[in-house]
Amino acid sequence: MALTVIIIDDDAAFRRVARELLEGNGINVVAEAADAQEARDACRRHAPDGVLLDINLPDASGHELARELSREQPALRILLTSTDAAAGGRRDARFLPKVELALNDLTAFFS
Amino acid sequence: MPPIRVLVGEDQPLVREGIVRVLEEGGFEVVGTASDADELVRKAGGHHPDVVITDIQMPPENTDDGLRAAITIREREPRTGVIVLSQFLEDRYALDLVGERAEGVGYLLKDRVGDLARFVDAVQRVAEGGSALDPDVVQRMVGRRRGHSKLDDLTPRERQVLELMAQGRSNQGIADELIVTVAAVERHVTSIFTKLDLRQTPEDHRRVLAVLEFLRRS
Repeated sequence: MALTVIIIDDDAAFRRVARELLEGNGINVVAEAADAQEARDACRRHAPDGVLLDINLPDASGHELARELSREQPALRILLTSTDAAAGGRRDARFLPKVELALNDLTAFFS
Repeated sequence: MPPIRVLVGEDQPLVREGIVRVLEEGGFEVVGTASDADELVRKAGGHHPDVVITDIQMPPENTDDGLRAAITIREREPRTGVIVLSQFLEDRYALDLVGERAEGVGYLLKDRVGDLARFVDAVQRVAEGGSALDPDVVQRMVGRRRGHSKLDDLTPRERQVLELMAQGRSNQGIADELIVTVAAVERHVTSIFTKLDLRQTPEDHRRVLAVLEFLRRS
Protein backbone atom coordinates (compact mmCIF):
# COMPACT_ATOMS: atom_id res chain seq x y z
CA MET A 1 0.00 0.00 0.00
CA ALA A 2 1.26 3.49 -0.85
CA LEU A 3 2.74 5.55 1.95
CA THR A 4 0.66 8.52 3.05
CA VAL A 5 2.17 11.98 3.56
CA ILE A 6 0.96 15.45 4.50
CA ILE A 7 2.76 18.56 3.21
CA ILE A 8 2.82 21.39 5.76
CA ASP A 9 4.06 24.64 4.24
CA ASP A 10 2.71 28.17 3.86
CA ASP A 11 4.15 28.42 0.34
CA ALA A 12 1.34 27.29 -1.98
CA ALA A 13 3.63 26.92 -4.99
CA PHE A 14 6.00 24.69 -3.04
CA ARG A 15 3.13 22.51 -1.79
CA ARG A 16 1.77 22.16 -5.29
CA VAL A 17 5.09 21.12 -6.79
CA ALA A 18 6.02 18.78 -3.92
CA ARG A 19 2.62 17.11 -4.15
CA GLU A 20 2.91 16.65 -7.90
CA LEU A 21 6.35 15.05 -7.59
CA LEU A 22 5.52 12.80 -4.64
CA GLU A 23 2.34 11.52 -6.24
CA GLY A 24 4.25 10.90 -9.47
CA ASN A 25 6.52 8.62 -7.42
CA GLY A 26 3.91 6.47 -5.76
CA ILE A 27 3.58 8.40 -2.50
CA ASN A 28 0.04 9.35 -1.57
CA VAL A 29 -0.29 12.99 -0.46
CA VAL A 30 -3.46 12.78 1.65
CA ALA A 31 -3.57 16.45 2.63
CA GLU A 32 -1.83 19.81 2.47
CA ALA A 33 -1.69 22.30 5.34
CA ALA A 34 -0.72 25.99 5.21
CA ASP A 35 -0.29 26.47 8.97
CA ALA A 36 0.06 24.56 12.24
CA GLN A 37 -3.66 24.52 12.97
CA GLU A 38 -4.50 22.97 9.61
CA ALA A 39 -1.63 20.53 10.13
CA ARG A 40 -2.95 19.33 13.50
CA ASP A 41 -6.43 18.79 12.06
CA ALA A 42 -5.12 16.99 9.00
CA CYS A 43 -2.82 14.70 11.02
CA ARG A 44 -5.63 13.72 13.37
CA ARG A 45 -7.97 12.99 10.50
CA HIS A 46 -5.57 11.10 8.24
CA ALA A 47 -2.94 9.64 10.62
CA PRO A 48 -0.32 9.78 7.84
CA ASP A 49 2.94 7.82 7.71
CA GLY A 50 4.94 11.02 7.32
CA VAL A 51 4.91 14.80 7.06
CA LEU A 52 7.08 17.24 5.12
CA LEU A 53 7.16 20.18 7.51
CA ASP A 54 8.37 23.74 6.89
CA ILE A 55 9.99 25.15 10.03
CA ASN A 56 8.73 28.72 9.42
CA LEU A 57 4.96 28.51 9.74
CA PRO A 58 2.85 31.64 10.19
CA ASP A 59 1.25 30.52 13.46
CA ALA A 60 3.84 28.31 15.18
CA SER A 61 7.39 27.08 15.12
CA GLY A 62 7.79 23.97 13.00
CA HIS A 63 10.11 22.53 15.68
CA GLU A 64 7.36 22.78 18.29
CA LEU A 65 4.76 21.38 15.94
CA ALA A 66 7.09 18.46 15.20
CA ARG A 67 7.39 17.65 18.91
CA GLU A 68 3.64 17.91 19.34
CA LEU A 69 2.86 15.65 16.37
CA SER A 70 5.47 13.12 17.53
CA ARG A 71 3.86 12.93 20.98
CA GLU A 72 0.47 12.21 19.45
CA GLN A 73 1.79 9.81 16.84
CA PRO A 74 5.23 8.42 17.84
CA ALA A 75 5.78 6.48 14.59
CA LEU A 76 5.23 9.57 12.41
CA ARG A 77 8.19 10.28 10.09
CA ILE A 78 8.92 13.98 10.04
CA LEU A 79 11.13 15.65 7.46
CA LEU A 80 11.83 19.28 8.38
CA THR A 81 12.71 21.84 5.77
CA SER A 82 13.12 25.62 5.36
CA THR A 83 14.22 28.25 2.88
CA ASP A 84 16.62 29.33 5.63
CA ALA A 85 19.52 26.87 5.51
CA ALA A 86 20.49 27.70 9.11
CA ALA A 87 17.01 27.12 10.50
CA GLY A 88 17.67 23.50 11.38
CA GLY A 89 19.84 24.62 14.28
CA ARG A 90 22.08 21.82 15.49
CA ARG A 91 22.60 18.99 13.10
CA ASP A 92 19.30 17.27 12.81
CA ALA A 93 19.09 14.21 10.61
CA ARG A 94 15.52 15.10 9.91
CA PHE A 95 16.35 18.56 8.54
CA LEU A 96 17.16 19.39 4.92
CA PRO A 97 17.06 23.00 3.70
CA LYS A 98 14.99 23.64 0.58
CA VAL A 99 18.10 24.62 -1.31
CA GLU A 100 19.28 21.00 -0.93
CA LEU A 101 16.02 19.08 -0.77
CA ALA A 102 15.44 17.06 -3.95
CA LEU A 103 12.92 14.48 -5.00
CA ASN A 104 15.35 11.63 -4.22
CA ASP A 105 15.60 12.80 -0.60
CA LEU A 106 11.84 12.80 -0.26
CA THR A 107 11.30 9.37 -1.75
CA ALA A 108 14.20 7.93 0.28
CA PHE A 109 12.94 9.44 3.51
CA PHE A 110 9.33 8.41 3.10
CA SER A 111 9.87 4.96 1.55
CA MET B 1 8.14 21.35 -35.79
CA PRO B 2 11.06 21.05 -33.34
CA PRO B 3 10.14 21.40 -29.67
CA ILE B 4 10.43 24.78 -27.95
CA ARG B 5 13.75 24.89 -26.05
CA VAL B 6 13.57 26.13 -22.47
CA LEU B 7 16.15 27.04 -19.81
CA VAL B 8 14.97 26.96 -16.18
CA GLY B 9 16.35 29.06 -13.29
CA GLU B 10 15.28 27.95 -9.81
CA ASP B 11 17.42 27.42 -6.73
CA GLN B 12 15.24 24.91 -4.90
CA PRO B 13 15.92 21.48 -6.42
CA LEU B 14 12.46 20.15 -5.66
CA VAL B 15 10.69 23.09 -7.31
CA ARG B 16 13.16 22.94 -10.20
CA GLU B 17 12.36 19.27 -10.74
CA GLY B 18 8.67 20.09 -10.62
CA ILE B 19 8.93 22.86 -13.23
CA VAL B 20 11.05 20.64 -15.48
CA ARG B 21 8.52 17.84 -15.20
CA VAL B 22 5.60 20.14 -16.05
CA LEU B 23 7.51 21.51 -19.07
CA GLU B 24 8.42 18.05 -20.33
CA GLU B 25 4.85 16.87 -19.92
CA GLY B 26 3.82 19.93 -21.92
CA GLY B 27 6.07 18.89 -24.83
CA PHE B 28 8.93 21.36 -24.28
CA GLU B 29 12.62 20.49 -24.37
CA VAL B 30 14.44 21.60 -21.22
CA VAL B 31 17.96 22.40 -22.47
CA GLY B 32 19.36 23.25 -19.06
CA THR B 33 18.76 24.37 -15.51
CA ALA B 34 20.49 26.92 -13.31
CA SER B 35 20.47 27.33 -9.55
CA ASP B 36 21.72 30.92 -9.40
CA ALA B 37 21.34 34.09 -11.44
CA ASP B 38 24.92 34.17 -12.80
CA GLU B 39 24.68 30.61 -14.02
CA LEU B 40 21.37 31.47 -15.67
CA VAL B 41 22.81 34.39 -17.65
CA ARG B 42 25.81 32.27 -18.64
CA LYS B 43 23.71 29.34 -19.80
CA ALA B 44 21.31 31.59 -21.69
CA GLY B 45 24.32 32.86 -23.64
CA GLY B 46 25.50 29.30 -24.31
CA HIS B 47 22.22 27.56 -25.18
CA HIS B 48 20.32 30.42 -26.88
CA PRO B 49 17.04 28.93 -25.67
CA ASP B 50 13.66 30.01 -27.03
CA VAL B 51 12.49 30.81 -23.51
CA VAL B 52 14.12 31.33 -20.11
CA ILE B 53 11.90 30.72 -17.09
CA THR B 54 13.23 31.94 -13.77
CA ASP B 55 12.27 32.47 -10.18
CA ILE B 56 12.75 36.07 -9.01
CA GLN B 57 14.38 35.25 -5.70
CA MET B 58 17.65 33.52 -6.48
CA PRO B 59 21.22 33.39 -5.21
CA PRO B 60 23.73 34.99 -4.93
CA GLU B 61 21.88 37.87 -3.19
CA ASN B 62 18.55 36.09 -2.76
CA THR B 63 16.64 39.29 -3.49
CA ASP B 64 15.53 40.01 -7.06
CA ASP B 65 18.57 38.41 -8.72
CA GLY B 66 16.43 36.29 -11.04
CA LEU B 67 14.60 39.38 -12.28
CA ARG B 68 17.83 41.22 -12.97
CA ALA B 69 19.20 38.16 -14.78
CA ALA B 70 16.03 38.09 -16.90
CA ILE B 71 16.43 41.78 -17.81
CA THR B 72 20.08 41.17 -18.76
CA ILE B 73 19.09 38.16 -20.88
CA ARG B 74 16.42 40.24 -22.67
CA GLU B 75 19.09 42.79 -23.55
CA ARG B 76 21.71 40.31 -24.65
CA GLU B 77 19.51 37.73 -26.35
CA PRO B 78 16.69 39.61 -28.07
CA ARG B 79 15.33 36.40 -29.61
CA THR B 80 15.00 34.65 -26.26
CA GLY B 81 11.69 35.12 -24.46
CA VAL B 82 11.76 35.42 -20.67
CA ILE B 83 9.21 34.48 -18.03
CA VAL B 84 9.73 35.36 -14.39
CA LEU B 85 7.90 33.53 -11.65
CA SER B 86 7.07 35.52 -8.58
CA GLN B 87 6.01 34.37 -5.15
CA PHE B 88 3.99 37.54 -4.68
CA LEU B 89 2.38 40.06 -6.97
CA GLU B 90 4.75 42.99 -7.29
CA ASP B 91 3.94 45.27 -10.20
CA ARG B 92 7.25 47.10 -9.97
CA TYR B 93 8.93 43.82 -10.95
CA ALA B 94 6.66 43.46 -13.94
CA LEU B 95 7.21 47.05 -15.06
CA ASP B 96 10.99 46.70 -14.73
CA LEU B 97 10.94 43.48 -16.70
CA VAL B 98 8.71 44.66 -19.52
CA GLY B 99 10.46 48.01 -19.91
CA GLU B 100 9.52 49.51 -23.25
CA ARG B 101 9.04 46.22 -25.06
CA ALA B 102 6.14 43.90 -24.26
CA GLU B 103 7.18 41.18 -26.73
CA GLY B 104 8.53 37.84 -25.61
CA VAL B 105 7.98 38.47 -21.96
CA GLY B 106 5.99 36.90 -19.14
CA TYR B 107 5.38 37.60 -15.46
CA LEU B 108 3.44 34.94 -13.60
CA LEU B 109 2.69 34.05 -10.05
CA LYS B 110 4.68 30.98 -9.11
CA ASP B 111 1.79 28.78 -8.18
CA ARG B 112 0.37 29.12 -11.69
CA VAL B 113 3.00 26.53 -12.66
CA GLY B 114 0.71 23.90 -11.19
CA ASP B 115 -2.01 24.79 -13.71
CA LEU B 116 -0.47 22.79 -16.54
CA ALA B 117 -2.66 23.96 -19.45
CA ARG B 118 -2.35 27.66 -18.65
CA PHE B 119 1.36 27.43 -17.94
CA VAL B 120 2.06 25.58 -21.20
CA ASP B 121 0.01 28.18 -23.06
CA ALA B 122 1.98 31.01 -21.43
CA VAL B 123 5.36 29.48 -22.35
CA GLN B 124 4.21 28.95 -25.94
CA ARG B 125 3.02 32.53 -26.30
CA VAL B 126 6.28 33.96 -24.98
CA ALA B 127 8.29 31.63 -27.24
CA GLU B 128 6.36 33.02 -30.22
CA GLY B 129 7.19 36.60 -29.19
CA GLY B 130 3.94 37.29 -27.37
CA SER B 131 3.46 38.15 -23.74
CA ALA B 132 2.03 36.35 -20.73
CA LEU B 133 1.40 38.68 -17.85
CA ASP B 134 -0.56 37.74 -14.80
CA PRO B 135 -4.08 39.18 -15.18
CA ASP B 136 -3.84 41.10 -11.91
CA VAL B 137 -0.63 42.77 -13.07
CA VAL B 138 -2.11 43.68 -16.45
CA GLN B 139 -4.99 45.43 -14.78
CA ARG B 140 -2.68 47.51 -12.63
CA MET B 141 -0.28 48.29 -15.44
CA VAL B 142 -2.97 49.40 -17.87
CA GLY B 143 -4.22 51.91 -15.32
CA ARG B 144 -0.75 53.21 -14.75
CA ARG B 145 0.30 53.18 -18.41
CA ARG B 146 -2.66 55.26 -19.49
CA GLY B 147 -1.61 58.05 -17.15
CA HIS B 148 2.02 57.74 -18.12
CA SER B 149 1.35 57.92 -21.83
CA LYS B 150 -0.64 61.16 -21.49
CA LEU B 151 2.21 62.85 -19.68
CA ASP B 152 4.70 61.29 -22.06
CA ASP B 153 3.05 63.26 -24.87
CA LEU B 154 4.21 66.51 -23.31
CA THR B 155 7.33 68.20 -24.67
CA PRO B 156 10.12 68.82 -22.14
CA ARG B 157 9.14 72.50 -22.10
CA GLU B 158 5.48 71.67 -21.44
CA ARG B 159 6.52 69.37 -18.66
CA GLN B 160 8.58 72.16 -17.16
CA VAL B 161 5.55 74.49 -17.34
CA LEU B 162 3.38 71.85 -15.69
CA GLU B 163 5.93 71.35 -12.91
CA LEU B 164 5.86 75.07 -12.23
CA MET B 165 2.05 75.01 -12.24
CA ALA B 166 2.30 72.25 -9.66
CA GLN B 167 4.36 74.59 -7.53
CA GLY B 168 1.49 77.08 -7.66
CA ARG B 169 3.03 79.59 -10.09
CA SER B 170 0.84 81.88 -12.20
CA ASN B 171 1.41 82.26 -15.95
CA GLN B 172 3.28 85.50 -15.24
CA GLY B 173 5.40 83.74 -12.59
CA ILE B 174 6.18 80.91 -15.01
CA ALA B 175 7.05 83.42 -17.74
CA ASP B 176 9.46 85.16 -15.37
CA GLU B 177 11.05 81.89 -14.33
CA LEU B 178 11.54 80.62 -17.86
CA ILE B 179 12.37 84.06 -19.29
CA VAL B 180 9.68 83.85 -21.97
CA THR B 181 6.60 85.95 -22.72
CA VAL B 182 3.28 85.37 -20.98
CA ALA B 183 1.77 84.63 -24.41
CA ALA B 184 4.28 81.81 -24.86
CA VAL B 185 3.35 80.34 -21.47
CA GLU B 186 -0.34 80.55 -22.39
CA ARG B 187 0.31 78.60 -25.57
CA HIS B 188 2.11 75.89 -23.56
CA VAL B 189 -0.71 75.75 -21.02
CA THR B 190 -3.33 75.36 -23.75
CA SER B 191 -1.29 72.59 -25.33
CA ILE B 192 -0.95 70.81 -21.96
CA PHE B 193 -4.72 70.92 -21.44
CA THR B 194 -5.30 69.51 -24.91
CA LYS B 195 -2.82 66.69 -24.46
CA LEU B 196 -4.23 65.79 -21.04
CA ASP B 197 -7.79 65.88 -22.43
CA LEU B 198 -8.86 68.73 -20.14
CA ARG B 199 -10.89 70.65 -22.65
CA GLN B 200 -14.39 70.72 -21.26
CA THR B 201 -13.98 72.74 -18.06
CA PRO B 202 -13.14 76.34 -17.07
CA GLU B 203 -9.44 77.22 -17.08
CA ASP B 204 -8.86 77.38 -13.32
CA HIS B 205 -10.39 73.96 -12.85
CA ARG B 206 -8.35 72.56 -15.73
CA ARG B 207 -5.22 73.97 -14.17
CA VAL B 208 -5.91 72.08 -10.96
CA LEU B 209 -6.77 68.91 -12.85
CA ALA B 210 -3.56 69.12 -14.86
CA VAL B 211 -1.52 69.54 -11.72
CA LEU B 212 -3.32 66.65 -10.03
CA GLU B 213 -2.61 64.46 -13.04
CA PHE B 214 1.03 65.42 -12.83
CA LEU B 215 1.27 64.72 -9.10
CA ARG B 216 -0.46 61.36 -9.40
CA ARG B 217 1.85 60.19 -12.13
CA SER B 218 5.22 61.47 -11.00
